[in-house]
Amino acid sequence: MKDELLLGIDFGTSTNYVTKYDFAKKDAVAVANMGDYGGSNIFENTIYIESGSNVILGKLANKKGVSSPMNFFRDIKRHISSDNWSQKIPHLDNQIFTAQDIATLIFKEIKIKVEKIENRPIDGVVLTVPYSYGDQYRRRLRESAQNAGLSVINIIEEPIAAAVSFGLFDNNSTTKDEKILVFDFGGGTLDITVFNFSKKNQSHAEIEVLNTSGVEQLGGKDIDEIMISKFKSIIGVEYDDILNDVELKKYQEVLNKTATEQKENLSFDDETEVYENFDLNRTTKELEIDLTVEEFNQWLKSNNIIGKIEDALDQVLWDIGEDGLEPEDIDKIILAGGSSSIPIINETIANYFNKMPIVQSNLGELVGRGAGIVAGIASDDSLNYNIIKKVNKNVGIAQGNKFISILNKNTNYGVESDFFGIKINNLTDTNFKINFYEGDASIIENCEYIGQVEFDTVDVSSSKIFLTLSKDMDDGRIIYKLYDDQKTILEEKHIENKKG
Amino acid sequence: MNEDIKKPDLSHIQTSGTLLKNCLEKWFGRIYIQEKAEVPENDITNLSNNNNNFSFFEIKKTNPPIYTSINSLSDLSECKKTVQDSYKKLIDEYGDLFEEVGDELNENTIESLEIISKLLDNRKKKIESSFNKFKPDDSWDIAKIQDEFSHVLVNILKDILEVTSISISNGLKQSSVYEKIIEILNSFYSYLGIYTKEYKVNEMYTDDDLVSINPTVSQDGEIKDKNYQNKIKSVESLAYLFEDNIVVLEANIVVWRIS
Repeated sequence: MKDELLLGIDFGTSTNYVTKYDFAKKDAVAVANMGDYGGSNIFENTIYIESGSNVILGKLANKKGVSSPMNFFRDIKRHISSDNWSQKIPHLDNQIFTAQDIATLIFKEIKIKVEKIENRPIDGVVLTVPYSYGDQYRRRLRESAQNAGLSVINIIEEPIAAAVSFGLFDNNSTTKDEKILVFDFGGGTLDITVFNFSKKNQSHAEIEVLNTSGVEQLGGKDIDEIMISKFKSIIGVEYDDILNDVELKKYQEVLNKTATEQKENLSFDDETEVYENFDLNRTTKELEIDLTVEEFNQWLKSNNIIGKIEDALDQVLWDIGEDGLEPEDIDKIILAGGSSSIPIINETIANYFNKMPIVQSNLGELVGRGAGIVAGIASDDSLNYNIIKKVNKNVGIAQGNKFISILNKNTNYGVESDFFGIKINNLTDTNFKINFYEGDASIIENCEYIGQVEFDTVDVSSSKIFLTLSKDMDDGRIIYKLYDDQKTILEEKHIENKKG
Repeated sequence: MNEDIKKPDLSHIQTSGTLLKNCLEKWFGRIYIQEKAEVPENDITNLSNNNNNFSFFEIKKTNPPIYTSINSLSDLSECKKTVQDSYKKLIDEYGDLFEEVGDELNENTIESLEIISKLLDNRKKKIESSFNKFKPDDSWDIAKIQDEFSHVLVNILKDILEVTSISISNGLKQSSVYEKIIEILNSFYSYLGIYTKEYKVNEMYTDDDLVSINPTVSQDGEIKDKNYQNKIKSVESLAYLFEDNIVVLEANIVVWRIS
């Protein structure tokens, strides 16, 4: 039995989760004691830099950061793609660090902690990325981990990791060929992914992403806001009415907590009794209501939450293949995310597909587990797992202020795009430059710059060259190929991130 | 001339009142409530200036955490019942106290006590609902059941502590009835195995202490002197714990921010 230490790291915006592949179980399990104070193995993605040789992660970092905020960082993931984000770190002689540098410190600490717990070196890791994140982020995340001394086996999209985790360990059947939809209704966004999952036996399976879609501004927080707004109107005090900052903060905290709790209660019970009191503007105000599921459902309907969910489901199915899919084509629906257990959400999905969804509330664990399994697949010869990955965004160039897609979304990794002709003047364009972007928009301002290619045309005899793009099967980086007018290849490289 | 007139020292009246109250309670074996002399509003909100208040809140470590009584799956329902029964006892004792001394209380205090009563009643249902939802997985061993159930208890008790503490802290300076309420609540917490830990102003806190501390900074809490790093500026509340690493409610501590 192999004893390599292969990890899956779900590097999240707010939390991290680290798993290791278990060759005996053919499963990934949490690396124990990575969490805060003996609690969950999921720990907050925050860092406090005490010195060059001592950094602290998680809840303890948050607390240490109160007295020394310049040495404390959270939400690093959000800034990794940015070229404009950097911070001076007082405890490191005021050196300037980018978000990518800070991510490296986080990975280094994860490496130290895991190797201490496991008492052996890490052999390789698989990192997760949100499906919608672009090439720049993936590249920088990989570099961060590599700079921390980790060998990156692969980078995998979160919904694919979830599907691997879910699909492989559904032991009810040894063979199957089904379409699975993962409906991840998280705190801030709704992400929907459709896969084809085929399993030939317990050790041989294939996953193909068919489409991914969602609503960026729709999540549990929106439901909380609806409830908070109702609560405020019952209490009769809006945030603007409060004169004292401490009272306002407390009011907001209690209303947020109450909304979250009552939302959860109504996932289990038909009715819930709410009672809270507040000292506001020198008077005591009470929130006292008996809230029923019917009322709660009505709030969600009248705020079009249900309508938006149905529209998102329509969209994700229509965009698959040439004719789209029908709801009955989906064999299994997995509901994930904190808000997915709300009964009306559940009912909406069940009615839409005419079958009951499977509720899996903690997607974070599912993603980390899937990443750990993918790490294991690379080394475990007894598992034959094929993941057919798709390009997650259109990749192309700018023409004026328009975005022209060359490599289209949902193209398989490794598949070269059609030839795209570019006119050149080899007398004036001796150092020819092409900027590349990715996105789903038609206007270049709404797309993300990913890099630049410089090409010396001195030896090119024709006035036209051809360009193709593809995604590297191994590391997901974008490969460009340049051809002359006879379609003879002139150059083949990865697009590097140079300033446009 | 007015500047020369001294304000009356209310603390003497307070002390005399407390002595009389204690004597009456001793002689007649019943509770007497002392409505306290009015305290300037600034002081009501700043408990940190008067650490003596914490003595009322202190709970000594006497009983083991209630979840450690779970040594088999069948013990779990017994443990749930014990918690529910002791909470019912708390509500009954609170009601009895209200009945006994209600006539002696002023309108504001009655209103405040009614709010605490509603909060306690409301949380009774929350306990029931949380316990019903708690279903141990077949794969869990006893240690895991204890651990998971301790999280459920921490959630419930943290909420009860949070929602009652503000009313009680404010009320404590206005009426001695709150001392009795603290006694009733503390008796409940202590029975479940909770104890308190107090931090002191100007003490240095360690990384280990941060487990049971919720550090915050105040507007005037910024300082350049690095010697103030990890020094406690003021203390706002006690920490409540089941065990050294199982914190029910962190102590609110104001720390210095090093600029």
